Amino acid sequence: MHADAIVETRNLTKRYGRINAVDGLDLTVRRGEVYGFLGPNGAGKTTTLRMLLGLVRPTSGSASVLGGEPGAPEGLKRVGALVESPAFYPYLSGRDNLRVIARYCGAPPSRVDEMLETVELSGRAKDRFKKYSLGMKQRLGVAAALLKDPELLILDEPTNGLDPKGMADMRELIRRLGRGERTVLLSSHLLGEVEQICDRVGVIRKGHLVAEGTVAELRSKAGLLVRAAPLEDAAKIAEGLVGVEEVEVSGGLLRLTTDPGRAAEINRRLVSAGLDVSELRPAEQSLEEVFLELTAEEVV
Amino acid sequence: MLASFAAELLKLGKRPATWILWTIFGLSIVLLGYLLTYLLLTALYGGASSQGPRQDAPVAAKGAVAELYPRNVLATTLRSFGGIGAGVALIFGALSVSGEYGWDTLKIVLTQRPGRLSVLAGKVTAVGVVVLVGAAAGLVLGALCSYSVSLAEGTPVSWPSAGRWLEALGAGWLILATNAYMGLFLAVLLRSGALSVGIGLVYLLVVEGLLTGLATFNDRLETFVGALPGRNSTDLVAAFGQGALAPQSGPLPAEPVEPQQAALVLAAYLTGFVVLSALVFTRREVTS
Repeated sequence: MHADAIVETRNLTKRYGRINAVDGLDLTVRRGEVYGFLGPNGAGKTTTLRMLLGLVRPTSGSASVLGGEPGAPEGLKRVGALVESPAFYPYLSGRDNLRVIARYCGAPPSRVDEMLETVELSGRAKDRFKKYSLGMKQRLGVAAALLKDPELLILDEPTNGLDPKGMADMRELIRRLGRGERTVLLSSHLLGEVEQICDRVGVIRKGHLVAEGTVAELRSKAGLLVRAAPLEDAAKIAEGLVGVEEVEVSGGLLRLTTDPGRAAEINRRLVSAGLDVSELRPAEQSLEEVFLELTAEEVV
Repeated sequence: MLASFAAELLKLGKRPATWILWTIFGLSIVLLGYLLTYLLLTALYGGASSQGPRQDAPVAAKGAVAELYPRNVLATTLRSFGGIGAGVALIFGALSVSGEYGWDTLKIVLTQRPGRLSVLAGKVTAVGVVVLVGAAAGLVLGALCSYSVSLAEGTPVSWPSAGRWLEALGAGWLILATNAYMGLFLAVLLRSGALSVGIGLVYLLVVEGLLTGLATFNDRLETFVGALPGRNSTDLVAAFGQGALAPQSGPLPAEPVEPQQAALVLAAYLTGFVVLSALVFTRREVTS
């Protein structure tokens, strides 16, 4: 286990009949980071989070949350979670719902009003939950997750169904929560959200982790963009170069899948072959392009 | 467990369904157990025609009114516990759990600090406490009604002993709690309010009644029916007296069992429902 890992899974698998919802997942979330758990719908994000919270038992593999078994009371008292849609008692007010949760988790009653203030729901605290808008329900869900002042905050698609203003507010709230010592594990399929908030990202596809790293690392894996003439000759030479995995002609440019650190060497080979090289730069893909590439075959 | 118990009490106390159900139970004691019975009986013995097939009806009715007096309050009131009370308690027990599945709140409850067994223990205890309050309130209502009848009839008031009141409270709680935990178990098992309430009520209102009726023709069936919770509830209530409008003859095929035995059988059912609920609740995954 990594010394600073707060969540770690090894070969974590959940099978429902013949379907592998999560398949040999190795995940590491470090203390203090905002970790984006990215994947298309149905990729296994929520099942993974449910296993980390002890709601669902793994078929095989292991998981450790805050150094203990998922779902153990000692761990749960340090974890706040909002899994899928916020679920509360419709006949209770927002405040009473939080009072119920505070009693379960042993949080002091004073935290209830404090958290309502944090998510800007104090003015509607007396209203019944069933009268809340979707945005208010999501914010109450975050408030409930924060009641324990958790070391680890697990948020499963917290901006689902929110309007643009609600999404911006929620992103800002998560950014604030992620400052300092608290670790946030944020599941999402919204790339902009992850790009803006997360320190590191793990991409899951069909239950597998297919990439992990900082947003910058994921985006820079693309390689180099080359503008050279004649373009066809440049493409032929590039295809023959060692270390160039893929060559693609697009918009009058060559996109080479290779280590961007090899730019000088590639430039030298093209120029010495008598080609005119007018532009050569690292090809940064957007996170969306990286995501689509990593999760190809899937419909987002 | 205390944390879960405190949370459950807050939920049950603020839930409109709790108040509606126990109000219905109270009304059944006041309106059906006393008011309607009293009006029917007084109509029979005071001024109603003494012609027809039951010429002895006025005399019998006058005797039956005595069952509504305070000295018979426990028998008359407890009859409502085994009838409408059982249904109310079953619905209450089922709703105390099924809401968690219906509103998907189980995932938030189980991701707080307490373990699953503590969560269920808190729920079971809270249901038991509310049922105890309901049973006590039912007996108090019965006392008020019987006192009113006594005043209306101008008869002296004589109450059962304090010990008898406590026994009645225990018996009433046992009858209601057995049914409440049956509902709770069905809701844990089926994860659905409608299904658990529906199946529970069909059992209470149809299956047991049908079996009791058929048992008069078969000794083995009679032995089996004698072990069912409904029959033992009836037998336990019978230990406190007959009550007003109790059947003079008809489908009571066997002698009631001893109240201690009936109480033990009900306690066994109650424990069984709680243990089975715990087994299912602690093992099942929460997938949605």
